[in-house]
Amino acid sequence: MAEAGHSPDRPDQWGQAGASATIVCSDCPRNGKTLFAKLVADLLTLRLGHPPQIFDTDDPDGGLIHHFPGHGQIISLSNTRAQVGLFDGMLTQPGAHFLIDLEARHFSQFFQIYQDISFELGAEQVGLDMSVFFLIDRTEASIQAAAELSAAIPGTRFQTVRNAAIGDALGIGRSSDIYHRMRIDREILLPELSAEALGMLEHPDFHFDSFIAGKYEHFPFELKAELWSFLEGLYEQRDSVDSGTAYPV
Amino acid sequence: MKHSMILVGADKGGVGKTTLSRALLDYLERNNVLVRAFDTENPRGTLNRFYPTKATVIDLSDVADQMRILDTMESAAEQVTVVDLKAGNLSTALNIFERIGVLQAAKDGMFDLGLMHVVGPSIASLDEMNEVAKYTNGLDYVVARNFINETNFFEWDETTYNKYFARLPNAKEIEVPKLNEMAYEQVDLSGVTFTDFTNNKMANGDDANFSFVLRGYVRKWLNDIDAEFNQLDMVKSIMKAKRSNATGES
Repeated sequence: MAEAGHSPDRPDQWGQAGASATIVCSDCPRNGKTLFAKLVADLLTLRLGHPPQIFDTDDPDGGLIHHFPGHGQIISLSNTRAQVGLFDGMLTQPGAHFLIDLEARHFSQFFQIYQDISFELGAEQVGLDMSVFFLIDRTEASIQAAAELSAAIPGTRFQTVRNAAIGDALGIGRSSDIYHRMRIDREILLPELSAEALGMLEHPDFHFDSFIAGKYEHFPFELKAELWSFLEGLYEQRDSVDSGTAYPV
Repeated sequence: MKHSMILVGADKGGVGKTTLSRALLDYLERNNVLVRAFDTENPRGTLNRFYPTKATVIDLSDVADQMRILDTMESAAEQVTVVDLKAGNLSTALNIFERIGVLQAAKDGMFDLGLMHVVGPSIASLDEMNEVAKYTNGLDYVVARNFINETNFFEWDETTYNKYFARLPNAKEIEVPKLNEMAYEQVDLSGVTFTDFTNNKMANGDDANFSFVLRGYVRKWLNDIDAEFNQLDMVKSIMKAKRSNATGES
């Protein structure tokens, strides 16, 4: 596990009662970002009793939003009016929880705006807890991008996600050095899933709250066991940081 | 206390002259410099809309109004006078100032005189620099390149770029960064200063409800343009005089 700069007195965006905004991002496409965003949304749903408000930046088609119809909107970040709707919207809804699925093609622009308008300051003023999940791609450049982002947004909880399904970049070049030097408040390791389980997670109608409620009892035992294991693994990783113990890789 | 007068002008309209005047006034006020302004966009005034108590609308061709600027400089409590010259009136204004001895008085050290010449990304605008060159000896001449539409000021054409910028005599250059259009329009619509907008305040001091995003864009823009102002000798001189005045030095 990476050297974690996690501060125990900071609230957890998955369990806190106050407002929160979670940004799921990566500098590269096709590394499981939207799937992970769905997992975060599902976990928030389990905690909150309802899905978070979703901002889907995959304009115009939308990706994540199709998994949570009626709980968010597709936004075009190139439009100032939409930027106002996104950022002002998060600051003016006390107690609300937001999830932003950030397309890789908007990664730089989004965080440039985030910094230009000092959004961390505005979030702090209204008690909006900000966190980022950065999906590490399998290149040194991706780890460098993560390190630069982590340094640029010191007021935002920074969490890395390493997806076993796409391979590990830590063995490439200086990747490991860069990775272990950056501020990481939490690291999530996504295990590789079977094709059946992955297909299930990617289905817009599948959600973990329904799974836990027993809606999918008719699934094959092996599939259910794998999904349970996957879900428990995510929970353990979340709890491991708070308890100070590392998740067994 | 030595007085400073800063003229802000352009011979072409729509290049951001009044925007730069507003940014300059904001900068000076935020740095606690006492400043007064004259708006020569008579009779309506543009600067005056944002600074109703600070900017006086005048007609520069009127002798009485010329006297309001020049004859009151020494007695004014304000250290700095900013004159926002009417669009298309830069050469005319400089000609007037030359005829009535203002340029010579500045050369003689009676006060510091600066000219901020705002140019836009067009040949017509750039040609103005040659037209005003004959007046700029002895004053702080600043060419403000306004990046109103993310232009590159002909940097892609070395011949053209060098013709205008590589050998500018006695000139400093600053860049006026681009401000997000929606943010600019919101400030304009609200009729408040840039600083009040970023502080979420109405002109009367009441709390406003401006967009955090748009305020952020304006705050960033002000930071960027402040950095440009900070490198100017005329601004350094004003700040130095203010500090000397505050500590009672002569």
